[in-house]
Amino acid sequence: MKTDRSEPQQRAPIELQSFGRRQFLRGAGGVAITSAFGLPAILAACSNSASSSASAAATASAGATASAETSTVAPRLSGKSTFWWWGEQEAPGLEKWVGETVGLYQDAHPGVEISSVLQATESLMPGFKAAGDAKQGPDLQYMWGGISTMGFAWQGFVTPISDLIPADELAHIFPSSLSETADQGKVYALPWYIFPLHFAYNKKHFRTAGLDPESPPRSWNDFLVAVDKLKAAGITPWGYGLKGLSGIGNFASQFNLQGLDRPIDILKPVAGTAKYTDPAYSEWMHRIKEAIDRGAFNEDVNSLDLAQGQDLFVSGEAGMNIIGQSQISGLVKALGSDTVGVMLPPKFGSGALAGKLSTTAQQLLVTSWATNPDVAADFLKFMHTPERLKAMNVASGAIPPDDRFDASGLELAQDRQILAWANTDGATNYQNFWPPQMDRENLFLAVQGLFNGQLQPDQAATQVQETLDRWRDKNQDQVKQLSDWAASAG
Amino acid sequence: MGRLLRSLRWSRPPSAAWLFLTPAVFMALLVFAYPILQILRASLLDRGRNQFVGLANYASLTDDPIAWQSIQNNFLLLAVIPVLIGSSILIASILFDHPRGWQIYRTLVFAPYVLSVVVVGIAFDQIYTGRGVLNTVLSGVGLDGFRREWLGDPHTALASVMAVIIWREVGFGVTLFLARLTTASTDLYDAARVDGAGWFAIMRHVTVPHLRPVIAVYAASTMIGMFSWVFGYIYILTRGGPGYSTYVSEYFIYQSAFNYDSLGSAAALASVLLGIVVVAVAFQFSGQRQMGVE
Repeated sequence: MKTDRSEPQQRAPIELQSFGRRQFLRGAGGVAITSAFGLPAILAACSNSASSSASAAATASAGATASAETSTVAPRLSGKSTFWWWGEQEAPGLEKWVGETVGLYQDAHPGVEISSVLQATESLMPGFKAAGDAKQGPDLQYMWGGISTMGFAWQGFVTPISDLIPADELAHIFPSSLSETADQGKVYALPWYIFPLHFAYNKKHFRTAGLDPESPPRSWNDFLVAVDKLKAAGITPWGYGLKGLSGIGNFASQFNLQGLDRPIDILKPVAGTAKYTDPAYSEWMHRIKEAIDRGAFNEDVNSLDLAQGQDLFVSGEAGMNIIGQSQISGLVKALGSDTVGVMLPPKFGSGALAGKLSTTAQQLLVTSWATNPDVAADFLKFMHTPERLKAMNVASGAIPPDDRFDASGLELAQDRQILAWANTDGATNYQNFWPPQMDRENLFLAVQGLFNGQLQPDQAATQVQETLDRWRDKNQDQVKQLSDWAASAG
Repeated sequence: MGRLLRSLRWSRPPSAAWLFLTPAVFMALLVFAYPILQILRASLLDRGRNQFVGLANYASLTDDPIAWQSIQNNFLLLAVIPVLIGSSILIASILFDHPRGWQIYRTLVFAPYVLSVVVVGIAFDQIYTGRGVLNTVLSGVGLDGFRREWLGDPHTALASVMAVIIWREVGFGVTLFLARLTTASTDLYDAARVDGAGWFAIMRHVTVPHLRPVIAVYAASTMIGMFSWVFGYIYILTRGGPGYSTYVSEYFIYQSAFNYDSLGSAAALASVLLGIVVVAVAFQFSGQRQMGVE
């Protein structure tokens, strides 16, 4: 990838090495004072958020909020802005919310025209790559977190969001979500909503198997006991599908950081400063093999894909599954709120990340060629007003990593639990720091090899290491970028 | 008149001919040559630095086990050609004899070809799962030992994909061969029967020789297809897995270009693929000429 770190410097850089909120606040200075004038408007928005529908009254009040904010915080904005986004696919309802939010913002800013374009999954990355090469297209772009965003940032496609949005605004965002796109003291994108991945379990099945449905297994040994009991009760313990590889990332995310203290440490074997065969990285493969040998999975695990594997849970055939938080409401509708439990991954590793909730934040970034970066940044801030955050959750179930979002308003206890974990017990998904090619062409294949019996855990780890070595030889530029990134995190 | 036209044609200066040909040649170059040249150019560049790197992208393919596996799988897919040709001829011959309800059979045989690859892929994805129709049928007839995770087992995945390709594509072959058979003189068949030829002898000495030109074209187009038109099947059914067991060149090119930002590798393999197809087709037509097939 091309390295170009000469993005426009519109504000003084902010020290964000560890991304503590305290540091954001320390850097806020006068901007915070200016923003404080917007507080009444935000409070007004909070009071308005009692209405959960997109009714005319809510629209009017939100529009008034937007108007009030911009009248105090920013000068009159004008110009066109193009917003390429994705997300309806994983959080249905977002499209409606985006349309509504654009409408409200334009109502409050008559001189602003925002054009939102929902992207197809397959074209999101190549479409933005082509736009970046041509330096035209979106002003505001959705992107997956971590290495996906940073790959484009290193090519000079992105204006750091910390250059456009004040530190006191960023201080509301969960630090782990911000850290996904942090490099050399800059933050490149604004987290939009989180995508936590976690276990779901069927409480009825747990009860049938003699397990405590309110106390799911926390340790690996307890997990194996649960597997045995579910199996003995005639229930497939863990419904899963490997075909097509699309679910292996979700699967690995539950386990492969358990020997590490920081997510970014997974970059070490990528950069060549550690070996993947080290138990800190590969112990999880032994644990997975243990679960396979124990009969934890459905017999047709190799011929089902991710969705088909998840269907086993929805149909009540399986006791456990790995899902995304946005799927919770669908599961609750299908199985009942009393049946669906959520749990953290069973803990076996010795690292600080053992047993943590794996989460990633879907990001929004301002392009380096944006003609109206101020409009784009202001629109982002508007998206993060409490009223809009609330409306987004109501419309789509998506949860923003923003402390202005009122979690008590979440309808489902499962969602409240997940948000609490994300804030206090969450860890960034390993995929944010792991080259995508080393998933599909490496880690995923090792997991498949474990499942279809072609590889033993040590062989799988060795295969991952050898493939990393080959990849490193051919991708020296990326290795340098990733090494620098890891170094910048300390 | 013909002589006059020929004399007129040859009496014109070549420059005039080129003048009239120029727009067509330009369009042909634009449509065909330009993209190929761009691919060749990209295969010689480092995408990130946009620098000329000579044959480095090709060299990197040689020690890339995935690229080798992809090409190897494309060659393995060629195994569908004789199966397609054989089954198409067989079915066409049967239908040509107009058995009762032959129109219905013809429609049924051709129907899969009308379906999109995506639809076919989704249908077979369900059929092939561990608890799918295929395994259910096998169990039903007492063949539990043959139950497999057809697309999940690296030993059966590629063969399973081939079966889907054959199922969908055979209808086109049948239609082609049936069309050709309608041009055959019934006298030939009558004479063969009078001479005491059985079904197999008629097939060998009358039907197949008559079909030979169509077989040549069908074989060539199917061969090109097995190198350049199987992406849809792979993408829907297996995404190249399990492992690399169904990874083909097109999928490698797609992944490299669009997911791994490695346009150089993608362009290099695309160029290799083009070369393989051109050489293979040239060999095939050369062989056909030697056998007297026009």
